[in-house]
Amino acid sequence: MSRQDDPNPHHADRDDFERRLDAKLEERRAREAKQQASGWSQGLRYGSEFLGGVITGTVLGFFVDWLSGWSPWGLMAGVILGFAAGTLNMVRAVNEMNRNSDASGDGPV
Amino acid sequence: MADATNPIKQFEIHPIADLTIGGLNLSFTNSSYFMVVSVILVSGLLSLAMTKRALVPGRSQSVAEMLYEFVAGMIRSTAGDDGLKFFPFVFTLFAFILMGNMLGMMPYFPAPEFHGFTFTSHIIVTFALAVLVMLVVVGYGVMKNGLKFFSIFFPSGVPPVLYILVTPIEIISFLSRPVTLGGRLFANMLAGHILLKVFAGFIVMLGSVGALGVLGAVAPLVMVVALTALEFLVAFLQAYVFAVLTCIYLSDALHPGHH
Repeated sequence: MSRQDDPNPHHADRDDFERRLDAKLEERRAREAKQQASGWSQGLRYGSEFLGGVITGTVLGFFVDWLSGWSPWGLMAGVILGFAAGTLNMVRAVNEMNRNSDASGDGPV
Repeated sequence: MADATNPIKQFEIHPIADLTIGGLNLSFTNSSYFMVVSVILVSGLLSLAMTKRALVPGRSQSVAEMLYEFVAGMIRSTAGDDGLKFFPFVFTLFAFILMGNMLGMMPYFPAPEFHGFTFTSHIIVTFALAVLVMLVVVGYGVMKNGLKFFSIFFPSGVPPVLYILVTPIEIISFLSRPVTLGGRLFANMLAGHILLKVFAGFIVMLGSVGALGVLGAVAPLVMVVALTALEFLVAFLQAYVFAVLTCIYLSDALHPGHH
């Protein structure tokens, strides 16, 4: 049975109720999406992404040096590439968070 | 006295049963003890909650079902419906870490030496968990997509010459994932527990000064109560973050090239 031929005489009321409920829910979801992550946790997330990249690059460069004896070139290249990788991680994390807040009904930013 | 207020003392590892195999020290420590307790508690409580299998769930069963729905919803929203084949993996990780974080919130525990311990505050534990996640991602990705999985290191739309530069960066970025994944959980648990102990230490120190000190000790006491509440939040949140990031990385293995 579809809603149009519902024999319930109060169906207009119910539709109205559901519309209001939907509006309230929408509003609440938008509010929750905004306060999803505090500034602190966001900052820590980005910071750790960047730090992880730099540390990994440095360790990898050091490892290459240790294996091949190209010291200090492996370490230097590793640190620089690590910085780039950290930045890439950070950009990806930002994109991901923006996508999440878009998906929850904020519309294009 | 020095031991009572030492904020690092809580992270010490004590062997409970000594065991050496082939020159390797494989003793059963208090860390292993808490891991075993965590596994037993998680599987025990969940099976106990689900013994009735009622259609209309009782109190404990609805908690278990809520946990299930929570993790299933998390996987669906981050890795898609086909990510649900990893549900057992993600749920086990989430429950294990959550239980470990929560066990760490108990200052006294029926353990040898009777003090609480947080196994997630040791980087080797969290790093091992993160490496396990990455091994599953790489293993499943290669099994499902073959060599195409490695196309995540060669982003499309880049002139081939630049691969000399871009590919090492992508590889380092990929290898840095377990570092950040494990590091974040470890750092949060370590910092939180040190902070709790430092403020609790202030109470002891001020309390031993005299009447005025006891009065002043009220301030750190209030702080410790507030921090304990915050730590419970962090304990849950970090288990959640670990599981969400696991899902995101798994979605890489499921659909590579969707950056």
